[in-house]
Amino acid sequence: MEEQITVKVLLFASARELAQSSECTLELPRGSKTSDLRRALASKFKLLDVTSLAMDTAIALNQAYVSVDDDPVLSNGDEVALIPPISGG
Amino acid sequence: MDLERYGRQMLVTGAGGQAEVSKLRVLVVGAGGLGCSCLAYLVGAGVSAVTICDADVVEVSNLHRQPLHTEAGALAREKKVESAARALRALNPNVEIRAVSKRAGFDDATADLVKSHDVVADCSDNVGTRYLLNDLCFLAGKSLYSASALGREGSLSTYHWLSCCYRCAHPRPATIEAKRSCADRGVLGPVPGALGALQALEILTRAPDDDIAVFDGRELRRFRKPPKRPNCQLCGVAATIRSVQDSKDSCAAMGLVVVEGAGFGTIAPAPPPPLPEDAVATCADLARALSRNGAVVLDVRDPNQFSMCSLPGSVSVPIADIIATNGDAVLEKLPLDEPNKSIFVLCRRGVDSRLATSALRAHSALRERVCRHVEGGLQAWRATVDPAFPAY
Repeated sequence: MEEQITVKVLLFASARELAQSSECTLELPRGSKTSDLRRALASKFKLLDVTSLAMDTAIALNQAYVSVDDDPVLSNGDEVALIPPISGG
Repeated sequence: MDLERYGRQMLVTGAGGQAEVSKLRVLVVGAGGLGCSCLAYLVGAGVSAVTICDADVVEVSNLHRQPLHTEAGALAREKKVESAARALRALNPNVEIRAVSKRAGFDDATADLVKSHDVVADCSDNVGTRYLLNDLCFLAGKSLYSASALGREGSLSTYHWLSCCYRCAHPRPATIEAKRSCADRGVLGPVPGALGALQALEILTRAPDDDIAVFDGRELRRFRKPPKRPNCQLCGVAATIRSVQDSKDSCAAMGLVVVEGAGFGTIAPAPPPPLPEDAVATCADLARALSRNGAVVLDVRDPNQFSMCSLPGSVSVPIADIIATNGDAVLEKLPLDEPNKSIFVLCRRGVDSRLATSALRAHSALRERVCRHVEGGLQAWRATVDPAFPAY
């Protein structure tokens, strides 16, 4: 069994702006949770600082928002979206 | 029933559908980019009544995305609610249009507005009002149709309160988002136009509330909402928010307070990094240094803003590049033959320039250089040195 899993990450709004990219692929150790993915994103993109964005922002796993109280284990091929709320209008 | 006026939509919804629409009383909070679009389609469709709630006046910078308002209104600084009401009455005289020139707030007047309508459209432009309307609509049992737009992006969500509320999805406001407004980050006019039109569609069709739609500038993707949070302060099993005052207290605890003159829901920004006194310059200091030919101006705004206007001879290095390279990006751009000139770091308002100055002063290759942040940025330059410098 492979030790690593590959996860596709979609970035929206300020996450996309700060990362200067709308999507990326992350390799994570098997068994990684969404909190591990947040940390990996924070270190991949310097500007996604750990406290304000990567750790705080709502995320969706395979087109469904993850409750802020949950921290599910990721599977190979998952699609995770980092969706900061937009408030302009 | 006016078949001539509404026939085309009744071919889709039937007489029963139109009868439902014709009973709807909608409170629309915000008469900006989202509001203008949403209002026009609601009134065109023949709802019973709309109330428009907004405290702003029309400005020329609104007109590219707010087609109910006019240049004449901007020149006369007309209230947006009055400008919008006039345009809507001209569009459909059968709909009752009420203009309330007021900022939605934690007060009984706003709560009463919510209670006296069937549904609420959140077309506001700030994070504080999003929490406010979420709370007031939940407490009053009114459906909330919420939209937002910024840059090329937007989102759309509906709340009938059987599934999660806005607080379940966003228990805390993201501080970074609170600093992003259309005035700061810009917006393409059709984006709020499209989202406001979809918001009207959701209202007219009483759309279900099981997902949140995100528009990325090309595509609308729908994400299933998270489950209700059992410990949500508003809709959880042991909810503590029971009144307007509770909502106000909870929002205040999250830093969402009404800041006079700065708009509702302004989150107190994180304190700027401290700079020693000799690292802070006024625009007058910069003007003096330029007149002695003793300054290099480093403009850290993003390339789009730099392309719109800049001080002659200034060097562009965006703040994002400075931080991503720990300051190295600046070294490539600085004129090497003028090592005695002070570096004046400039941005639009004096926020990013402070960050950039901190980074540059910590850079080993720049230790010998004088590097100063210009307080107030180009807005202060226009206000105190050169009134002819463009505003945007």
